[in-house]
Amino acid sequence: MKLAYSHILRLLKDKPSKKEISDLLFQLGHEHELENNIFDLEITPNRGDCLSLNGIARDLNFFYPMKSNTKVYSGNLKKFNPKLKNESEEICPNISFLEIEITGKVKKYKDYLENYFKDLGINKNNFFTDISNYLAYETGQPTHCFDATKMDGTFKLEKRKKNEKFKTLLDDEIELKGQNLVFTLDNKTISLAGVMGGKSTSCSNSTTKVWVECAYFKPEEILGKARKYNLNSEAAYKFERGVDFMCQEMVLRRFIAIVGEHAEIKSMAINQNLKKKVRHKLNFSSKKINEIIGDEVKENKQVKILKALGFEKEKNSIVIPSHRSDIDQANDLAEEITRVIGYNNIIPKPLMLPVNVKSMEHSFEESCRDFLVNLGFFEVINFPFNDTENEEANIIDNPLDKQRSKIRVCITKSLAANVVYNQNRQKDSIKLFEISDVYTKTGRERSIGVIVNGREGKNYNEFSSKLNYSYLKGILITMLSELLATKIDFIAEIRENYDFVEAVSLNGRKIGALGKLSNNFVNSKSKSPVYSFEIDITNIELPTVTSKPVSEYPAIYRDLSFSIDTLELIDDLNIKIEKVCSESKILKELFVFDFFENKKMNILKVGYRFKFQSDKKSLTDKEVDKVMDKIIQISMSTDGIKIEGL
Amino acid sequence: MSSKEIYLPSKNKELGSIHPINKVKFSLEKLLCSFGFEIAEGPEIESEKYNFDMLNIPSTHPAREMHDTFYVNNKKSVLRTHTSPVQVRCMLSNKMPIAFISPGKVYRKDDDSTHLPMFHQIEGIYVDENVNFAHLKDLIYKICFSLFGDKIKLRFRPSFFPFTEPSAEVDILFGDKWLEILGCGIVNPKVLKNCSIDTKKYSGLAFGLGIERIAMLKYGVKDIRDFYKSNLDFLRQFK
Repeated sequence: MKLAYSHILRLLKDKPSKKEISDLLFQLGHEHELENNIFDLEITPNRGDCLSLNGIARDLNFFYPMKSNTKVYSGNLKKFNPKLKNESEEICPNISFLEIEITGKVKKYKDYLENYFKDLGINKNNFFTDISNYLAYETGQPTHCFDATKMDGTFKLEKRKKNEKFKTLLDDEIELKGQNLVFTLDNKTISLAGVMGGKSTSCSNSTTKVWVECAYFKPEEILGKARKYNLNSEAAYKFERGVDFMCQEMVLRRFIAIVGEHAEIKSMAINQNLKKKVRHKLNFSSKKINEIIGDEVKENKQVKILKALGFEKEKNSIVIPSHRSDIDQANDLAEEITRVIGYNNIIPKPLMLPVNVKSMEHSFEESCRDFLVNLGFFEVINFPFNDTENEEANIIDNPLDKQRSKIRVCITKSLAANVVYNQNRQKDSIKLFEISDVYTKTGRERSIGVIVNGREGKNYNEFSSKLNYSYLKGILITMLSELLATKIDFIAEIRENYDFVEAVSLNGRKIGALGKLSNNFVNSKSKSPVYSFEIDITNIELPTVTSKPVSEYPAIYRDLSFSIDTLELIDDLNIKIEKVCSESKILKELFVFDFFENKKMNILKVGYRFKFQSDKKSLTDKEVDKVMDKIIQISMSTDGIKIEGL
Repeated sequence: MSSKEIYLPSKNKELGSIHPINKVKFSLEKLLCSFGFEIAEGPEIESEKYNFDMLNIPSTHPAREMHDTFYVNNKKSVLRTHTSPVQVRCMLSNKMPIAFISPGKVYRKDDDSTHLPMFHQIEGIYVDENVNFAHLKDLIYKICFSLFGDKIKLRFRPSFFPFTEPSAEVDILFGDKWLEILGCGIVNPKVLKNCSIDTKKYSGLAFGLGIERIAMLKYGVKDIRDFYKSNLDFLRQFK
């Protein structure tokens, strides 16, 4: 809302500078920008009462008292009967009409009226509409002028459901749909109540007699109507935020005064229909207010502030002014007092929270994140929207567009898009991960997704190595088995979107999948393979660590190199060796230390290193040989696995 | 070591990075936990009851319109528009006093150069006997000094949030410009009542920070959209 500095000054007894007013407006909660002499204010939605010149002056009243020289017609007025049938009194409990007719020429606008248009860059329309617009600016109360000569017929205010065309006074033709609160004349809509009048009864430069409608509409009834019909309506903006429910007579008398300053009034009469008249009261407790603020503000100062803002004190109560629909509890009064004192002037009081002892231990998720970052992975965060065809996906009723109409059911698709984005920017080593909640119609999971593509690293060993399945599988196994000290299982599967894939299980529970993504799924121009895994880490916790004594006895290492006919046999070999390992008390560790493949020569070799150690004594070769013999025996029992020289 | 090895090129390894938004989120969590807050989390797909009704946001409030909030599965749920519903859950399921922070993703139906459909917030609530606005100010000063140093200038402005009363926004002076940094207030007694808390005995304070805003200030990121492009060149800067 724009207000001119000079217009504000007109209402104040003193002449504060622009800066003084600006500082106070910030203090009172009215954020704004000041350009030249115009304050462009962002009034909070609860302060509909400040959407006017009077409203802002009223809020400044404690600091700069208002003048009381605004001219309002104070004479007696004849009664007027517009014969309005108000069928929506619940929505519009208070409505008044002024019938006014002028004769002769309209004079040049007085300075205050002329400057309203000039200073704010607003276009003039016709005499009556100009006054109506100015009054909304000055008082915050929208009024609507019907050309009285066009008001012959059955006049109603009703909420009705009727699809019909309606031409606004700005010549826009809109199609009314659903329920609308409308003024009708002979059953035809002549005004979308509280939003915009219609062309059929609008005023023109030749209009000399008008019915000025001045009403209070329930904010919730007007809310969203202007947006629904794509109308730019100042009136709707004000009604949505709440106007003074008892101001109609004052506003119409002000209307008369302005008309009288510019033209000869031939006749005037007023009609008032007021159902909502009672101003609310609140119990007033100075102590309670100070408890909320945390400061000692004397009762007389509290009352002085409230009175300056238009509140009245009645014994132990505070009467809330009819323009303050936002006030209904002690906390509201405390806010009024605090903002006048100035939030910045309240002295902070030391706050000590009752600190509970909380576990600051690393979670499994944090450990995974650290592990991946240390291995050169970059964390990403993606929006969860996509257009998945998965029937388990939650559907957004009002999406930004069709491509973002569902909530993703997995992270991998987002990560694949991230890979393509970076491939298109000439990145040839991509290692990304994301940790996020993932939602389906049946619930939510905490998931971690990891994706790799391109070169392994940026040194002369890793540059020529490509990120592949075994790299990623190694990371997954290490992450889970090292952090959780438990074994994970893989079972090959056939799944959509993967060239090959293995299901991942932890303690018998399927937690995700690891695989090579299909080109169709990745949708990249590059042929470079993309590998990913995604696992559910919900409720997975790090085990409690209990320290065990470390063996002081020497370890014995043995190596074995197996010749294998086909790659598939490696799994068999692993299973058998691990079985021996699990049965032995002295075989503490094993790992593949060498792998050699020559496809042309059909040579495939796997070298294992075994570590033997006892907690109780130094081992003898005989004891180690016994376990090694078992390994040799069990592995050689498989066709296609040999040990050279045996 | 042979002398040859001295002359071999070193095998440098590249470190990855935690996402800058998470980095800021984690540091805020650490800070607030050091003050005595406990972390609470909740679902991003929320009921209207927890996201709006319990927080004194009536069905007629503009924030509940389809152009502001994402509705899900035939209006059965919403994508939470703030992390405040987590606080409601905390108030309902814990005995007083409580001190929780709720970090996480939130959603608004916006998508332009300065607004994203998803962003991150961290909100805090403390409910106890005799909690007042002066306490809130003390806490906000501590948070802001910890984040930006104790030389910064702060400005408290009255504002409006349906779930706090009085409500305030806090600006920090950067150069010659005041930048809004957080919203806060005294928990509206209507919200406490909705959570069956005795308002004669208890009062509370609440605050909320936009993590993207803090991250932009901390790292000098000019365009909020950069956080979500997943561009490796961008992410490499936050090791």
